[in-house]
Amino acid sequence: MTNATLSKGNPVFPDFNKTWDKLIHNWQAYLANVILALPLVLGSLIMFLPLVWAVSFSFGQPHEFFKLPPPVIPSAFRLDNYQVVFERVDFLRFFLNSVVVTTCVTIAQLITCSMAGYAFARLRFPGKRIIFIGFLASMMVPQHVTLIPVFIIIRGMGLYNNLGALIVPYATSVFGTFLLKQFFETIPDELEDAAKIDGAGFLQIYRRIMLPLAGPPLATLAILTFNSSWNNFFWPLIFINSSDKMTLPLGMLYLRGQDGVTNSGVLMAAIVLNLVPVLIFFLIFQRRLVEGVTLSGLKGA
Amino acid sequence: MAPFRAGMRWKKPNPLVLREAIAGYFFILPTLLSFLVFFLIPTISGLGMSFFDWDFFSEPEYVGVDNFVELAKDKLFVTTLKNTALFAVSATALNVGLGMFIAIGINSIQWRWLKAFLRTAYFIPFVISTVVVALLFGFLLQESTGVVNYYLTRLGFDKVPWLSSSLWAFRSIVLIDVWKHVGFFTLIFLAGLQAIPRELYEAALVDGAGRFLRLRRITIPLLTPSLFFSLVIALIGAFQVFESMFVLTNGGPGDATRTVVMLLYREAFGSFNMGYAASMAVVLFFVILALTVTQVRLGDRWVFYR
Repeated sequence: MTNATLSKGNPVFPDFNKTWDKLIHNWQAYLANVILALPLVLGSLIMFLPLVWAVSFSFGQPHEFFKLPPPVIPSAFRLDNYQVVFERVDFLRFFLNSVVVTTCVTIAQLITCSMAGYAFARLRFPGKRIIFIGFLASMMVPQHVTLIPVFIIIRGMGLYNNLGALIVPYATSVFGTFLLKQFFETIPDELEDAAKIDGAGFLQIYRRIMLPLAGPPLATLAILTFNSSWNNFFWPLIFINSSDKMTLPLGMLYLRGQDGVTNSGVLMAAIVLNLVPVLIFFLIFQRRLVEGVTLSGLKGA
Repeated sequence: MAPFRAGMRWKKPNPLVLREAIAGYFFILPTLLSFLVFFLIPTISGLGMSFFDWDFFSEPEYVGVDNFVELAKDKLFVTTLKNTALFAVSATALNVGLGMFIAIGINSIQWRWLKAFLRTAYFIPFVISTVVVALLFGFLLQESTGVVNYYLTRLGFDKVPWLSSSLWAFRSIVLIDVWKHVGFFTLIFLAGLQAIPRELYEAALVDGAGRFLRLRRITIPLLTPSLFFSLVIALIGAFQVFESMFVLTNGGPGDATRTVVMLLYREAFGSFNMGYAASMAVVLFFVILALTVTQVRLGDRWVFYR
């Protein structure tokens, strides 16, 4: 105890030389930090500026885009452009379609991936290995190889120009199955054995033991799925052809095709309407999102 | 292993084992069905379709390898393949290279709040949809009335024909791709950096190694697994590029920014040359496969695994 206090140095008469060294060192570290940070901060401006410009142009008059220099802070908060967006297209419909598709896809994947992940991690059944290898191999094949046959299958199911076409093929995911399998493998056997002795069936083990423990990986999966489903463009482009079934990304393209919208403040207003929910989502779930990306990165590394 | 091996009698399975197997199939059923309907069957028929001439409405006609012979002679296809390869190489190099240096930079800053801010700033574009990003840049990069050119002229530069000259349109597409994806690769490298044990740096400090030497001898070698992973997935993704060109330039000017997937989309859903489009997908698949296999082979030589 006494020794420990002594080794910290006398607080009343600090060792002058040591303090001086420390100050110099701190100052150098400070400078090094500033030099390092400067280009990175400038770079981050490049990331933000386009978004700031979108906001400032969206508050201008519909044809104010000729007006240069562009104000970084808009002179007035006019909502004309936003009004035009809602007059030209059923923007709310796009938004609701996106919400419906994304919610269904996310919930479906949480259920199917956790089920399959549980089976691959904890159950024994013939053919398990070969099926799992098949699943993994499917991650390497670009979706364009399957595009035309899937198009025919979806039409055959009567899902052409139906939101179902955007949901059904995405109701399961190999990546999610893999993620959950890895997680369920870490759960100790004792938990499951105890439940088995109490007479629990596999469905009960899955629902009462596995699912409640899988909160973190399920949250990661939910956020990654939500993000990719929300931004999916290729699939709606192929399967949706009437504007009342469009999701936001395709709806944006449809809006651009309207008269006088291309490259105008109206388009910027629509872009801002797109950005707001995405940025709110990002700020709320940033930590999980970063975790998810990092996790999928580390898996490969 | 198999219950029907020669000389073995069929053994009645243990009811517990049977129950577990049934449960297993039950749990994987949705995923397995989806795998069969939306992957395995389409992949096989997609491969098969590339040997047919089919316009979607009449009977498919078997033509052997004609589609592939035609592809090799198709100048437009060769152009799109070149465009795609050039895009993939430049976007991958910039995304991965910049991502690595940004991550090393962020990691060596000591202020936590600034670290968190920079990480967020670079990652934000990743969550925005490519369509929105493309529309936004289409607006900002207009030649005569665009914001970017306005500031360039103010700084004394000439106006850049961002989207109207073949060369610049291609470069713009690459730059926009980097804007959107560099934060993703930064995150992957940041994770890799955090996995490097601190003791290594402490030991190097004791040995008197400077900043540069530590970077060269510790950081970079231990980042090679992240680098390898990033290169592989960046290249696979870049070869399938479609959206930004489709929205921003529609392949133009001329065919300067037309990619394989854009041509495939047009052949399949514009001209209904289903068999021909399928053969493009097959070529694309084998190109990606060959590159990935090569990367994995070469990876053994330079990736440092602890």
